[in-house]
Amino acid sequence: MDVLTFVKAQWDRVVGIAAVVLGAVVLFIGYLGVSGTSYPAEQLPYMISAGLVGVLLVAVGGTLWLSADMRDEWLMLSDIHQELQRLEPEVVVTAEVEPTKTRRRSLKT
Amino acid sequence: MVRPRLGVRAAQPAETVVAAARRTVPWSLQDLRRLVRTFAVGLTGLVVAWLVASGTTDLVHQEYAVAGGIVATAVAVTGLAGWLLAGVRALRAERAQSLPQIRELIARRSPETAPVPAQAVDGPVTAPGMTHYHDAACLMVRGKAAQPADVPALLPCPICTEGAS
Repeated sequence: MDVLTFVKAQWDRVVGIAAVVLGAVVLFIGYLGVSGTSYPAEQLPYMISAGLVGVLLVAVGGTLWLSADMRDEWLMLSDIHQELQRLEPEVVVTAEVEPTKTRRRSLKT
Repeated sequence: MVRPRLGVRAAQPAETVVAAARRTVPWSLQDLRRLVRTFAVGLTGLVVAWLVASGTTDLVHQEYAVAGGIVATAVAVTGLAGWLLAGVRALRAERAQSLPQIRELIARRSPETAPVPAQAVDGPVTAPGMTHYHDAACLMVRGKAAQPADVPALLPCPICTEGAS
């Protein structure tokens, strides 16, 4: 699988990793800014712009990664529904299953 | 009322409304809107806090700005947590819906384990895993794989057997 296909299939995981890395970089920049001055009035803006934003970026990355896991599980359940309907249509009492358009490959395989 | 979900095409026939519960993602449009709203509030709060903190050298004002920034971050993180929670709930509901169907399918495909009506068995009945014997009409054996009971080895059912309690 080439890189572009991988990124398309796993865009949320890729963006999640990028957000975590970016968050770490922002935190480091904030550390450099805070440690570069001894005046609290100059340090506090770094705490907000780099410290809190860095933490938020890491949280966004983690959320995206967990969302990708949930999405995989959701698609797996959808496949189970499709298979159930194929095997025993009368068992699936709810309705027809919308076919999955794109198949995502899990990183866990 | 079926909530609109992400990853669904707009126009769908009325008979497939129930099918709208199956999507390519577990979140609804309402979940996405809530995430965007809370995240936008949090980010705006962070920007305002940074502008206030960087625009003054007064420590008191800056402390307020830092406190506001922390609150704004908490709001944004709450939005993310709500997003994950909505996904977990949708998955749980989907799983709960699938399990009975899977069990039914397994039961249909396994004739040896398919439930035998208790009325089809003469005399006292029991089912695998039970420690009591029952009358064939007892509610406790309804829908279970009934089989003739080895009465001396089992206890009488306190519901259907007179004098057993």
